[in-house]
Parts: sequence; structure tokens; C-alpha cells
Amino acid sequence: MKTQRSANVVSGCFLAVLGVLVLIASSQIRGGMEERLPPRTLPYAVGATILVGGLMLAIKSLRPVKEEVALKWPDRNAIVRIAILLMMLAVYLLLVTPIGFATASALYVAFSIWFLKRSAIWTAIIIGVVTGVLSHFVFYELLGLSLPMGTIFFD
Amino acid sequence: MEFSWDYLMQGFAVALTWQNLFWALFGSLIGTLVGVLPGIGPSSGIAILLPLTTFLPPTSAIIMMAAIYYGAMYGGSTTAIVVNIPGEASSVPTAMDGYEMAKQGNAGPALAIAAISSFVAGTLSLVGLTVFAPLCANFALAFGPPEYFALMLMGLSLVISLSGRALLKGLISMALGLLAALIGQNPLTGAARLTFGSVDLMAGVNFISVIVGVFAISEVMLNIEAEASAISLAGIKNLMPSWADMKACIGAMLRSTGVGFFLGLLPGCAPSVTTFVAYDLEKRVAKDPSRFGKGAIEGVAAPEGANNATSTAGFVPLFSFGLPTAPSMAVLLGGLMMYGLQPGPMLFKSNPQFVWAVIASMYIGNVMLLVLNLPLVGIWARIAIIPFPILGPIIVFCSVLGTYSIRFIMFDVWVMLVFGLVGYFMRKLGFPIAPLVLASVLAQMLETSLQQSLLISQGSPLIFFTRPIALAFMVLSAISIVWGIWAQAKRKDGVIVEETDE
Amino acid sequence: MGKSVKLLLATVVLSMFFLQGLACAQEKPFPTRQVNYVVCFDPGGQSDRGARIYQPHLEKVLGQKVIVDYKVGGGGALGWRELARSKPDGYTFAGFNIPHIILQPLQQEVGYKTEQIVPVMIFQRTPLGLAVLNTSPIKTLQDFIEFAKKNPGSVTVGGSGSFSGYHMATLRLEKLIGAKLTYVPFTGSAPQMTSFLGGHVTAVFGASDDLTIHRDKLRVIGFAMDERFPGFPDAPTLKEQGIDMAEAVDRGVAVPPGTPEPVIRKLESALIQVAKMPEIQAEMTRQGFIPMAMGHDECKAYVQKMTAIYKDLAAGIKK
Repeated sequence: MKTQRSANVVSGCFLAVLGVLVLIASSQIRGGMEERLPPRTLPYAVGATILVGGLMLAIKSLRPVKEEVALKWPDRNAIVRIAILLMMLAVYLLLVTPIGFATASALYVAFSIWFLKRSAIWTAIIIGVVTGVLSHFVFYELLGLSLPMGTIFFD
Repeated sequence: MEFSWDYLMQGFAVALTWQNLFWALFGSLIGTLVGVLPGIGPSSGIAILLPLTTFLPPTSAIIMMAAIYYGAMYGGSTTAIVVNIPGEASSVPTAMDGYEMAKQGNAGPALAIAAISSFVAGTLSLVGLTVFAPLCANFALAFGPPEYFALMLMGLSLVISLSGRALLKGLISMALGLLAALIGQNPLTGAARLTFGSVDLMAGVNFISVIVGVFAISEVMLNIEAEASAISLAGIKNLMPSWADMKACIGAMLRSTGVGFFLGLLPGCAPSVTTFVAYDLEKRVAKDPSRFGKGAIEGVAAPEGANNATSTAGFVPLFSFGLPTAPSMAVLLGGLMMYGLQPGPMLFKSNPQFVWAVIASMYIGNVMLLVLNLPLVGIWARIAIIPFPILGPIIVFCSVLGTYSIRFIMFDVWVMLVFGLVGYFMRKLGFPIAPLVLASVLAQMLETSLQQSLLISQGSPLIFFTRPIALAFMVLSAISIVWGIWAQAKRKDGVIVEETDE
Repeated sequence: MGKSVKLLLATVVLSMFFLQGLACAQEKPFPTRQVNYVVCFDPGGQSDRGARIYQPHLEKVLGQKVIVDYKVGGGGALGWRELARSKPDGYTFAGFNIPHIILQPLQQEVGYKTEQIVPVMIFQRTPLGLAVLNTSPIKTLQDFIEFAKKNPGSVTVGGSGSFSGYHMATLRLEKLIGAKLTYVPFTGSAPQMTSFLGGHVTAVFGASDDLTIHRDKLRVIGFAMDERFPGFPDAPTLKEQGIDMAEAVDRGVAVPPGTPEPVIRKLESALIQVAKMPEIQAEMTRQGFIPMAMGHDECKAYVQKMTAIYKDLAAGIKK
């Protein structure tokens, strides 16, 4: 996966597998009511395109080229950073329903700003609270809109 | 709907009252804001503000909602240009050249030309709306399922030119976009497909989630990886475009107005589709197409003109038949009906002062937006200098809010997260993203119109070649495909073309 | 936990608690706090408009804030699945549609069963009518039948969605007149009516509100109702022309299964009180609907009756 060429081979193979999976999944779609265009047709075509495209990409890239193009992948630290940020996002989404949109957003914004820049803890708190308070006022108080209120507050 | 100066002047008289001016300005500001904020689009913006209809008089409310819609078309270009995250689905092509310009220090001229092009196209389309609405309305009716299918096919053939040199990867990207759109219920029969028995997946993949994911979330990931302190470090060289830039763009503005306006009359041709068509057209007519994707200023003017022309044209079928052409229009229609205003031929007879006031307010709103946006160019261009540790989390928050408030289900937000990962890997591996976005937008209509056409023709594909409009689009897409493949083949001079081009 | 984490958590959570945590439930008869009216279709759609016409009046009658909440997806199925799983305390109720809640579970697994949608009341009926363009050579139902018999399969009837009321209506009509028709589904009533006005389908089964909007462009050759539709007094029903069928979309309000009887009765009486208001009735009529005020028990029986009818029809098309 270091060079564009090897990455193409790997992603081509991955796509081919995906294509096969799509074809299998498409074969299980139940046909309905004597349709002119059966519901399976387009999924089959898409699966086949992904399979053939992936194979072509992999095979084409097997041949060596004169100049290998190097791909830039994140180093270990960067992978950890991205992973933590994605985890925080996932936790945020999981918290929206139980603790409410406004509170979850406030927490997420505060924590991720703090995570990205440790020295800015007060900035993080202020922006986080402002985000939460603004969403609370604009969406619940002003517009009476239906973002999750948080079940733990109301049961 | 007959055009008359009297009605238009009466419309201006209503639109120029302090109250209506205020709501037009308010709508323009909110529109610019939802346009600028990535993830939050005009349809969620209007839907969120729908409760205001309970206390506003109808004319003011609709003036405000319309202003949100076309205002978002102005604002959408901002983040596309400055930080490579399209503010709206309709600004995806803008990012292709706009961000390149910003990297070269020309964010200012790009933003300014986007505003000017939006204004020119918006105003010209308004003239079209004012004077030719009756003729235009019938144009929309000439399109039945076969015409739509041919049009969608032509849209899909743009993938070739959007892929640049990486044609194979572009095709794969397109297939992935179609795949995403196929998950869920078949739009016509309601039967579940590729859901693996999961009822959650039956809701399907909303294309807004796809767009926000592959652009906003993956851009944030890339910046976290690079430990960026700000998204763009390029300085700001100048703020206003030069005369040469302006001259280069006049053609693009006029062409994109034409394309955006006529396609915009058709239900289903939302700005997210017509901008691609306009961008592609500019690339085709350019003397040196290779400049595109590397910071061509016409590449910014064309999509920004087209999305404004389309948003204005959408009011023709809305007012004359009550037919919404885009999701935002559907919400606006709902707003009209909440007041008991029934759009359709009767609206012009029963409430002419209302219709003409809204149309007049759109002229005023466009001027307001130009005045708002041009001096703000300097401020918008500085978004890129906001420290990333602050900007990144706010972008994510807006993306979550925006994807959630389309259908109000958390599933859409998770889909956005997944497509953030997909977008990240596609960018790393050199797959073009635009074909994925285009395919996910077109897929549903492509399939439904094909199925409807075959039902009407009792299974004969000849229906696409015996109707003149359909035939014309079929020929256009055939030319487009053959030309693209030929151009691709020509480049292969013995060596394998390295597919690194984005 | 580090000091900074605690600091962040404490300040943010405390300030948000201050905002949100003030509301607490007390022991009083239902309803003691705001209620949520879930709309299972897009904001601005027919169901949403119905809900919003009711909202302010319902707030007055119930004495509590009514929040319109959206859960959109799967042609309504997503919202109804949520409803079936919601806490049965009456604070969450949803708009429901017949035949959707009957046909969807018949078609496939959608995460809810018809019995789990407990109807409280039905407030409007939208009958379907068979219509052609007013420029069409087909003048009457008789013309239509003759034309269909001469050109089997090439007569196209547009509707909204498959396995929907529109689809069922076409199938029933096909059976009753004994000629082959081609049903062309569209993704909603807006594309359905556009295609129809453009002359791309021979006829449509249109919802009465859509027919009302476009009334000067079309001719209704038969309403699928037992009596004539008040908005089109000159248009005959299918029944009076010997085709005995009625087909409509009914909209109402439903609660989750297991909701206590007193709560259902309270909601029912509040909704019926609103439904009987003259301005509500006038507004519904003007938009092309038939206002109704069908109570809880009547609704339950009606759903059962319709389920039996659709079961037979669905078995016919689901091979």
C-alpha cells in the first residue's frame, strides 16, 4: 500500500470482493409483480461494474511502471488522532438521544476543541457552552422544533 | 399567468414595504448563513423555520422562505472555495476550481466572481420568470418518463469528464454512488433492497448524508491527520477579480444561466444536478479544457450561475402547477399550503398581488445578496485562517445538525459518518469523488423513469428514440460517451496512463 | 480522569443542566407536560399540513404545548415503527394513514404490525377519482372501458407508489371492468400529476385534493366513493355507473399499543372537539379533503374491515 500501484492492486481486489457481495445480495432481492424492469436489474449491473472495474484496476496495476508514485499515509500518531476524533463523534451521536441534542453538542464541541488544542481549554468551554445554549434556544425555545430533548431529563 | 407591468409594479409596492424588506433581508441573511455552514442546506433551513409561519403574514413568510432558498445558492460557494467543503450539494463543482484558486491565493476573486455570477444569473432568470412563465410552464409538461430517463443518462455520462484522466476509477466511483442510492426501499414499489433484513436500512441512504460525509467529514479527517493549524495557509493576494477575469466569465455566466434556467424548469432537476451540467459545458467550450480543475475562474462562475438560475426557474412550475422541482421547493410549497394558498393556475387569478410581491421581492433580494456578499468577500476568505482546532469541531457539529434535520432520524447521521470514512479512503487512493456524488443524486430518477417508460411502452426500448426530446438527449449522451472514451484512448501513447489525477 | 477533563465536563454539563433540567413531571391527570405529534412524512406534506392545522387548537383544548416531530422514511414505515416502540403514555402520538398501515406490513417486514398502530381518531378522508385530461377523447367511464377493451394493456393509469391505495384501486377497477390496464407508479403525487398533465399517461387515479388543484385541466369520470364528492358535484361516482368500489386515503392520529384507556379517551375527545370546529371543517373542505371525526372504537372496526379487503387483493398480486 506504499505506492499508488500497490494501493491500486489492493483496492482493486477489495472492490472485486465488494462487487461479488453486491451480486450475491442482489440475487436475493425478491422480484415483484411481473415488472418490466425487475428490481434486481440495476443492482446486478452495479455489482458487475464494481467487480469488473475492481479486477481491471488490480490487473492493470500489476504491471510495473517506470516511476512509482508514493502514497502518503498517516503515521501512527495521526492514526491515533483520527481514531480518537471518530470515536468522539460516535460517542456524540450515541449520546444525542439519551442526553439531548444541545447538551451532547456542547460536550462534543468542547471536548474536541480541547483535544485538538490542549492549551485552549477556556476557549473550548466557552465555544462548547455557546453551541449548546444557542441550539437550545434557537431550536426548542424559539422554533419549538423537534430535536431530541434527552430522555433522561424527561422520564 | 399573464405578464403585465401593472401587476409587477403593484408587486414592487408590496415588496418595498418596510416589513417585507425586513423579511427579505432576514431570509437573505439566513440563506447566506445556511449556505455558508457546511452540512446545513436550504431544505433543512426552510424546514427549521417553517414554524415561523404561525405568526407571519403569508406574503412576508414566503418572501423570507424564497430568500433563504436563493440566498443559500449565494452562500454555498463560500466554504467550497475557501476550505474545499461545499456548503451545499449545489456547490460541489464549485470546489473543483474554486479551492484551487484559493490555494493560489485567489480566494477573493473566486468568491467575488461567485457572487457576481450568482447575481447575473439570478436576475436574468427572474426576467425569464417574469416574462416567459406561461411558455416555460409548458416546457416542463413536455417531459414525461422517457425524456427524464434520457436526461438522467446524459447526466450520468458527465462522469467521464468529471473523472479527468482516472476514467476507470471514475466509473468505479460512479458505481459506488449508484450502490449507495440503491440501498433501501425501491422508490416505486417500496420493496426493500440490499437491506439484509434490517429495518433501519430500509430508510435508505440520503444523498445529503453522502455529500456531507465525503466532503465535510473526510476533509476534517485529512486536516486532523496533517495536524493542521488552519485549513489553508495560502495568503490572500487580492480580493476583487480583474477585468480580464470578468471578461473571461461573461460567456460562462450567460451559458450557465441558460442551462440552469431551462433544466431548472423540470421537476427533479435540482441545482445539485444542473451545476454539474453547466460546469461540464464550460469545460467543453473552453479553448484549453486542461485548465479546469486547476483553478479556472469560469469553473467557479458556471456552477454558481447555474444554481441561481435553477433556483429561480423552479418557481415557474411551483407557482403555475404547484409542482416542486427540488426538496427545498417541496418544503416551500408546504409553507404556501399552510396559509391555504393553493399554487396552481388559480393562484395567479385569485392572489395576483401575493405572487407578484414574491417575484418583485426576488429582484430586491438578489440586489441585497450582492451587496451583502461582495463586501463580505474579505471576511469569508478569512474563514480559512480560523484555527482548525476550533473550525473542525464546528464543521462537524453543523454537519450533524444538517444531516439530522432533513428527515429527523439519527440513521442519516451515521450514514454521514460512514461516508466520511469512504471519502477519506477514496481521496487517499486517488478516486475522484464527484462521480460518486452525481450518481447518488441521479440514481433514483434514472431507475424510476426507466421503469415507467418501459411500462408505458409495454416493454419496448424504442420509446427513447421515437420521441424528439428524448432522442436529442440520447444522441447527446452517446456523443458525450464516445468523445470521452476517444479522448481517453488518444492519450495512451504506449505507456499506461497513471491514474493519479483527481 | 485528568483535571481538565473534569473541568470541561463539570462546566459544560452544569450549564446545560441549568437550561434543560428545570422541567420536572408532577402527579396530575394527563397531560401534564408537552405532547409530541409525530409526522411520518416530509415537512410541508399533506400529513404535516393536517398536523399543523390541528396543532394550535389541540394546544388550547389539551392545555399543553404540542410539538410537531418528524420521523420521515420508508413511506411512513419508519415513523410508525418508532411509534410502535414508543412509551405508551399518550405523550407520543403519530399521524397514521389508511391503507398504508395495512398494506405495508402485508407487503414485507417493516418493523411494525397493523395492530400495533392503535387508532385514536380519523380526521380526514381523501377519496381517489379516475380522471382524464379535459382534451382527451374519452368523455365518460363507458368510453374508457370500451377503449381499454379495444387496446388491452396500452391504457396507462398513473398513481403514486406500488402496493398503495392507488395501485389497489387500479387493480380493483381492472377486475370489475374486465379489461387489462397498465398501472404506472410515480414516486409521489407531484410527479404523478405532472406526467398526467403532460399527457404521458392515459388516466390517473388522483387524490381528491390534487384533482381539486388541477380541476380546470381535467375531467373526473368516476369517483371511487359511495356518494358524490362535494367538491365535484357534477362528477359521477363509479358506483352509480355500476362499478362498485370505494378507495380513499384516510388520515388520523394513533398511539402505541398498551396506552391506558383513559389516556386514549382524553386524546379522542380533544381531537374530536377540534375536528368539529367549523373553521377546521371549512379549511379541510377548501383544500379538497372530506373532514371526518371518527372515534376510537369506530376506527378500530374500520381498520379491521379494510384489512380483510386488502388481504385478498394483496394475495392476488404477491405471487
